[in-house]
Amino acid sequence: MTSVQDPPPQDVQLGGMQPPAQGGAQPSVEPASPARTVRQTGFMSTVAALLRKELLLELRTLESVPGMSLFAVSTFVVFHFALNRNSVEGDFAAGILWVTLLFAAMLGVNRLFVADADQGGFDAFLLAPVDRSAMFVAKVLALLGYLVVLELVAVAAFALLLLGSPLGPALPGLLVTIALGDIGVAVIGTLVAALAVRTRARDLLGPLLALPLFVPIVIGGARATSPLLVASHPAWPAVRWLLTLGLYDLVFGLIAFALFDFLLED
Amino acid sequence: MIVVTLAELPALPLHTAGKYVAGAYIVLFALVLIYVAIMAIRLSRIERELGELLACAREGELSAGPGERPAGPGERTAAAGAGTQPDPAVPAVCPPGQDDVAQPESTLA
Amino acid sequence: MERSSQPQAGLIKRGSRARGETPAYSKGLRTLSISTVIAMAVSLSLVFFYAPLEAEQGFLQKIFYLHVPLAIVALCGFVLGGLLAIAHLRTRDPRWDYRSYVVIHMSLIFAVGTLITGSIWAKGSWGHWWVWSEPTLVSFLIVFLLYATYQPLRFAIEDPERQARYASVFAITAGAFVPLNFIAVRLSTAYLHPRVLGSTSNLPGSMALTFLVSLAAMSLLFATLCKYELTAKHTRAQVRALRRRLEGQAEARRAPRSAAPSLQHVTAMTAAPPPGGRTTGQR
Repeated sequence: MTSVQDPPPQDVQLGGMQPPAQGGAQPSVEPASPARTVRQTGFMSTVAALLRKELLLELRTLESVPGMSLFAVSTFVVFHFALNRNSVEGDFAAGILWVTLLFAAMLGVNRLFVADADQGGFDAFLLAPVDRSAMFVAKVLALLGYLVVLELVAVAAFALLLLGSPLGPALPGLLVTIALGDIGVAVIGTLVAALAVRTRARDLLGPLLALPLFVPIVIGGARATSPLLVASHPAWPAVRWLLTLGLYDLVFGLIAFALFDFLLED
Repeated sequence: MIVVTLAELPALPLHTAGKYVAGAYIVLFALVLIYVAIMAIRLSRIERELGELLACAREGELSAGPGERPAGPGERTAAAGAGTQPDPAVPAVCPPGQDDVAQPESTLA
Repeated sequence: MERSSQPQAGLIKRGSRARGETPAYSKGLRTLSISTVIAMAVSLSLVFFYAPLEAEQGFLQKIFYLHVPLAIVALCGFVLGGLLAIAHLRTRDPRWDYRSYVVIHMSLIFAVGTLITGSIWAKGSWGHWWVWSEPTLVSFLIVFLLYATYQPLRFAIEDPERQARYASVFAITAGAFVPLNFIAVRLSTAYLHPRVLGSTSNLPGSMALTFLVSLAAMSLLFATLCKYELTAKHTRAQVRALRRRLEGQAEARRAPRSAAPSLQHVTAMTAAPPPGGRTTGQR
């Protein structure tokens, strides 16, 4: 991991932007109010640069996603033995799927900021003249990416190992619900990870903080998917649960976006 | 007639529901009283500390009169189990309190 | 010795804010306590002598006047803790964090009271100490589990300023979570069972009056206990500051790691000579 961090992180982070200070005068991108214009157009490119860094790191070190996927598959095996069932449907199926996804997601959440905290990534980022919430958006998007890969593996494994009903007809509704749930998990996971990473008991506090916050996502997700995972004609998930998930994602997305700044300063 | 009416009045079903209602109200009462007890402990601790500080301040004034360093307040530190003496070059020497050294604020503090 | 470090024991009740230095948290405490006692007495009398017996649950329903006000006050307390945390993040005044901490702590205790009384009510109604079909109880369990991490979170951060900041972020998140959680849990149970332990709507007039008085009494109790807590901690911090001053500040003694707000800023304000009539916070 150090070989990746050896080039100063600023170069990687600001890949899409001009370097912050160049000798005397600021290079004027635009004739009028250069600093303000740079900052405004810089947000999306900052996010893009940070996201690229995250995904590059993950691709090179492979520390989160394979672990999460493997954990999910192992959990299915454990559930088989714990419940003593060969196949599950309906409520059981929805419950097992969502619980497994949540706990696997927690693994990724725990690792999310560890590299930044341990190797000075926060300090380097704070020095850059960028909007700090860009890190939040980038981390959420990265975590979303990990979750998508996790779910590709986990849902396939689940259909293979434990699911008693055909997956095909249920897939569209399932994917929509999981997508909405993913956004919520990513938002809350990022916020909780940032809260927990610079405390003493970071591995313990992360899940402790996150699990109650995940409960409404589980409620919405499980209640929505459970009628889908039955052998008889699976319906589209009830709109009420999708609305719940969507509302939850929206509210917490806004709150976490607003609060993230305060966690970074030091 | 009166006897019949009295016999037919609905009695409070104290043998069934009354237990639970009483239990619930006792819970509230107990919570408040526990809080009162914790406050009492804190109050006595503050009173004791203030008494120590007052005595120490008085002694500091008395011995600052003759212009000399106050002689070891060590004899006075009866209650301070952990009282170590700070640098004697400083004129006002009062024993450090236990609470600065020991107690994490783990109770309702 | 600066005049501001004298514990103003005799002056506190009359409002030492006239001096303009230290906030006297106990201002109004006496009035508040007396009103709480009166309100509680009135509400208990109404509950047991005025409110009619309910048709279905009979005498057991009287717990309603205890359990639901506890629940409402605890919930409002959690949200209030979030609002105070917003004030802290905006003004960076550590006194807001101090108030947020006390309010959340007290709400947690009230939440425990809600869970216990709700459990007693469930046992009396249904014979089980816990019922999943009562959305209030379930929501409270989740909220309790969340706020129970507040203290460990604070304790795990040593730097007091960062501790206050992170705790405020948590308080705001959790404060926003409380209503959403209620909605979500209520949705999840609504289609399974009807409300088990009775609702607050459609109350006949006498019951509604009793309920409102009980709610007012419980809110006053909450406010009184919070004020007590604020005053006690503040007094303790003042005593500590006085002790440090009398020690001649021989050692910069660092307070041991604790989950409570360190109040060093508060006592620093106490210790520094005031620039002349600085306005202090409320209370």
